[in-house]
Amino acid sequence: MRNLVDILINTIIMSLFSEPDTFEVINDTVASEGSLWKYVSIVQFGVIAYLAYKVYRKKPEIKFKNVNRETVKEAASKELDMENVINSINKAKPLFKELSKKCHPDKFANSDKHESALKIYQKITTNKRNYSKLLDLKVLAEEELDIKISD
Amino acid sequence: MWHKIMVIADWFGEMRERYNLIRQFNQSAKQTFIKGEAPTLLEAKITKGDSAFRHEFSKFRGGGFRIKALSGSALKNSEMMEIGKIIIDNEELTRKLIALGWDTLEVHAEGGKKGLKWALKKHAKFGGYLN
Repeated sequence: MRNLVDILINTIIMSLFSEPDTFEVINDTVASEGSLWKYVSIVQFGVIAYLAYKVYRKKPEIKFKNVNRETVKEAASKELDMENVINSINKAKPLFKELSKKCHPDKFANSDKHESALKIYQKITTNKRNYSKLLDLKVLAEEELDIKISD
Repeated sequence: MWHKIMVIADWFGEMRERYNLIRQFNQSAKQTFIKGEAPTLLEAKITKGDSAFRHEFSKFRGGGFRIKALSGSALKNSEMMEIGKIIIDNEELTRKLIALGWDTLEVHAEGGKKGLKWALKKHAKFGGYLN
C-alpha cells in the first residue's frame, strides 16, 4: 500500500514538475529555431528582391557603349568659355529681343536686304541663348542691313 | 598593372576637371555679380543627382550639377527655366558635363528647396557618339 502511495506521489510530482519543464525547454528551442529561420528567409527575400531589381530595372535610354574613349576624353578636357555661359544667363535675353525686333524680315519686305535679313533672323533664333554668337550677329546685322542696334 | 595605373590617373584627372569647371563657373558668376551685371549671385555645386537620370558615365553619388541662387534677388520659375535652357542649349557644355560624369542638371532658387531638374542624357546631342 505504502509502495503504491509512493508511486502515485512520484507520478504526480513527475507530471507536475518534470514533464512541463522538459516541454517548455523543447518549446523554447522550437520557438528560437523558428524565429531564426524567419530572419534567414527575410534576408533571402531581400537578396532575391535586390537581384530581381538589378535584372529588371530600367536601362538607360541612351547607350554610350560604342563611344570611343578618346572622344569622351576630348569632350571632357575641352576648354569652355564660362564667361559666355554666365553672360548668356544675364544678357542674352534682352539682346535677343532687341535683335529680333530690329532685324525682323518683315521690316525689309520690299527691299533688296530682305534675303540677308531672313538669314540673319534665322541665325538669331537658332542662337537665341548664346550671348557671344548674338554679339557677332549684331555686328553682321549692322554691316549688312545698315541699321544701328543699341547696346 | 599599367592599365590600372592609367585608369586611376584618369579618375584623378576627371575629378580635377570637374572641380575646375565648378570653380570657373563660380568665379565668372561672382565677377558678374560684383560688376552689377547680374541681379542674382549664382553658385554651382556637386550634388548626388537623380538616380533615374543615370547613364554610363555617371559618377556615384556625384551626378548632380546644381546651380543655386546664393544671394541677391530670388529667382522666379521662368528665370530658373531660362538658366536651365541656356545650359542645355550649350552643346559643348552639355557634352562636357556628361563626359565628366554628371547626369542631372538642377537649378534651385534661394534656399535650395524649390527647383527644376533636367536629365542631361536627353539633351546630349552626342550625334555620332550614339549607337
